[in-house]
Amino acid sequence: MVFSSVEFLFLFLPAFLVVQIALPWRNLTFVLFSLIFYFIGEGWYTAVVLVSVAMNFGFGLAIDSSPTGSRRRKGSLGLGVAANLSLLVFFKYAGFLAAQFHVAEKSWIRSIHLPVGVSFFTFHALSYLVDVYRDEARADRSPLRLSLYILMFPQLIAGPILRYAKIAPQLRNRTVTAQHVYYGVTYFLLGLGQKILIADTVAGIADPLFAHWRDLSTATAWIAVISYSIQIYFDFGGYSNMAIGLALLCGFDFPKNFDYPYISQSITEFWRRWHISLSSWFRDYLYIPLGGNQNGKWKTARNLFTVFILCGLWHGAAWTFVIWGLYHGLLLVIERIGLRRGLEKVPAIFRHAYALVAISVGWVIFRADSVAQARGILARMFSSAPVAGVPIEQLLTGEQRAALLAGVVFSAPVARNLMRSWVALPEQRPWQPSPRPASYAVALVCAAGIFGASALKVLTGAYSPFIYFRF
Amino acid sequence: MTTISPTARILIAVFALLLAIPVLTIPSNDEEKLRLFHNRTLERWPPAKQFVPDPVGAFRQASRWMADRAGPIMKAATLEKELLIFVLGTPPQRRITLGKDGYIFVNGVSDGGVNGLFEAQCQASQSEGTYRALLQSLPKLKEIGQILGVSVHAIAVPMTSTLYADHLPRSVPPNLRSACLEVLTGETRLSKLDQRADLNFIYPFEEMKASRDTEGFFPKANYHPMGMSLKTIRDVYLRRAGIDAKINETLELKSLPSEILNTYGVTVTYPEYEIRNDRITEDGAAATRVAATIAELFYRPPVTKVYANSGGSSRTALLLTDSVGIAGAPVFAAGFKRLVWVYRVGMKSAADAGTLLERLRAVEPIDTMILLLQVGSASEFVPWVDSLAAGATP
Repeated sequence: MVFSSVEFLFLFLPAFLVVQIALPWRNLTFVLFSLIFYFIGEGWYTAVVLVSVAMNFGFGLAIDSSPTGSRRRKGSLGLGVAANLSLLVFFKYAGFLAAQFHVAEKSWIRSIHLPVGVSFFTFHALSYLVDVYRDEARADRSPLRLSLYILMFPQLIAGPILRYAKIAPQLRNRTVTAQHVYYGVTYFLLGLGQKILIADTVAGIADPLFAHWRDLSTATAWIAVISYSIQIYFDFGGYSNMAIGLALLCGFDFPKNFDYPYISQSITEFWRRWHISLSSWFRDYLYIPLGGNQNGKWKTARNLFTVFILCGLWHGAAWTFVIWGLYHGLLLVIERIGLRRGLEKVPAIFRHAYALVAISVGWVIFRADSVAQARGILARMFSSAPVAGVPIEQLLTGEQRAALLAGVVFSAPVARNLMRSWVALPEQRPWQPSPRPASYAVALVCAAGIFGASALKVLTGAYSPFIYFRF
Repeated sequence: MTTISPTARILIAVFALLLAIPVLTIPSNDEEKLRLFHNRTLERWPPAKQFVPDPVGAFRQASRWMADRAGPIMKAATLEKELLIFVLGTPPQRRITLGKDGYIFVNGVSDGGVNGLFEAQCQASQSEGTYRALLQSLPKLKEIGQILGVSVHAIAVPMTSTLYADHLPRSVPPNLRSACLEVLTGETRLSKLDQRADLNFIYPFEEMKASRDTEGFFPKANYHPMGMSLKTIRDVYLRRAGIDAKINETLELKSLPSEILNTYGVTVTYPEYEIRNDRITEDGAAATRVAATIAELFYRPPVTKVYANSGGSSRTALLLTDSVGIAGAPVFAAGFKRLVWVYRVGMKSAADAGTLLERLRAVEPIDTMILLLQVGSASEFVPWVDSLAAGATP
């Protein structure tokens, strides 16, 4: 089930909220609703997340009960990590690996179902085990609280990835005030609008262009890539904002996951702004334990490549994701070697241009169905062949043009900064009271407008009458 | 321990209530109205026993059930389409084209074949293949007439994609736009066929083109010809068929809802001529008899009407049509004493046209037959004519 579906918005969510305010057993009902949420989309594969919770509960206790620095503690962590990664590899990569070894297409291993969110709940589980191992948190004696940490539906299938040590206190005690509701609702509706009004509309440009990539001219190839860049940001960013809003309504404080990534002036900066919870997870649980940048240039480069190949693979089991990871790793290494110093000497506009082009090239690799398709689109983007001259009217409807424009405008913080003085926009904590009380009302009116427009799209999504047979 | 302040509790309850409105209002929905709105059978609630073996499939079906019925869906759909059309200049579906100067075109039957109608009307119908096939088949119409004593004509109705091709926007693929424009500006293969007196084939493009700029002639936002455009088609036919009919009808320029936008629940009126002819009445009993006579030739109960006319001519006609005939039948009825209209939708085979005529002649004194199709379906005249020819052995 996705947040932008009829059943979630108009049935599941209101039912969940009513139960949350009406019944006292909030962790229990939250877990039950999360299981229903997962069961609706994944059916009996819900057992996989339950197995994950059960085994990590055991591993957590085993780690916690061993003395710090002991072999038993290390061994328990090693077993726990191996068990979680085995689960991930089995469901996510077994088919891909089997294909590399030419296992017959009809073999069961080639058609293993990928339970949605497996990458996210595995990373949550790993965060739990490592945080307990590092003594940053105690193992939870309550299976219910651990279930809530791993299964909590706002983050279950698309993050943000929560660090156990940071969220653990909130699993025990949390407070919901009117401010939480205000920021929760506005965050959620802002995310809903980003997802439905911008990302889904712009997808209507990108999808057909990527599907017919052989027919792209230089201009249409760039339109495809720009559209996809907007789509993926507002899709994922919107979803993250919805998750943050839902969490606030329940008293949880989720971290910010995106921070205007397209205003970056380097790829290094991009990774500080894009999918922050994932990049910081990799930094803290992989890059730094590998030695980070403390052991010379070569080892730093090795660590960066390792992290980004795994980051690519985390996104999906395909060569395009591996290449995408390698590409970002390579850019980070080049920037670290000297490009960043060079970039600092050129005007900001060139730094932006470099970052945007580099990110766009990355998205082509990320979005492509195959390496050949990525190569083909990139060749067209940078081809000097004459433009085929497909009119813009043929490519984009008025709605798509408006969504694309909105996507470009809201990709930068300019609009936010301009609006801030008269609209109380959704913010991360600590919340500052707005100097103008009316700005809350303005924000609610805007949120209602966004909700109205989004609800129209959600409600009418499946409406497609057959005009010819109507007569 | 979670503490929720009283204000937060109230605010969350209000938010939940607002979100739940579409679901809470489901019981008050009129299922029949919804079915008509969606123009299809509504999704059924999944059987309980499906939830265990296939929970995901069952929940998906339940989701579709809900999506079909969610509270304000009809109003929401209309509002969304109005916003799309009038604010964002975006057609409500990909198979609709918003043209220049307020013209609206239907470019495809479904979003799957998004330009299927443009291709059929501007390219396929004017192709060498269609021309050859018609040239081979149409001469049989006169022979059929002589053998059966029934005057048979085939009429290909020009549509807006060609008549108003200069109003097609640049969103139409260039090859299709130029093909449609060529039909408007040049001499076409169908026009050549139209000019041949020996073929009983009518393609009234020039006559319609001559009147096309008359306000309300062919309503700007309609797919089908209405009012004056239908009258023009009928008058060309009557003249060419040599039928001297006394027609007492009035044409009044009105402002009527757009046929295309109405499909999406959007009511916008455009100038359109309304034809009134008080001499024409529907004969319901005869229509039932006609439907029963030809029922075997259709997958579902055939759509038929029988019109009686106290004016017109002494003839009785059979009008076999596609959807152009829905509005066209009463206009054509003005030229006859009786007119039997049969809508071809649901007909098992085009090869049954001969049998259809034979059976109907047993219940109605048919001496005239008109095959009426929108121009994009012109090639379908071939099996109809061949079928009629097969039944017309001396």
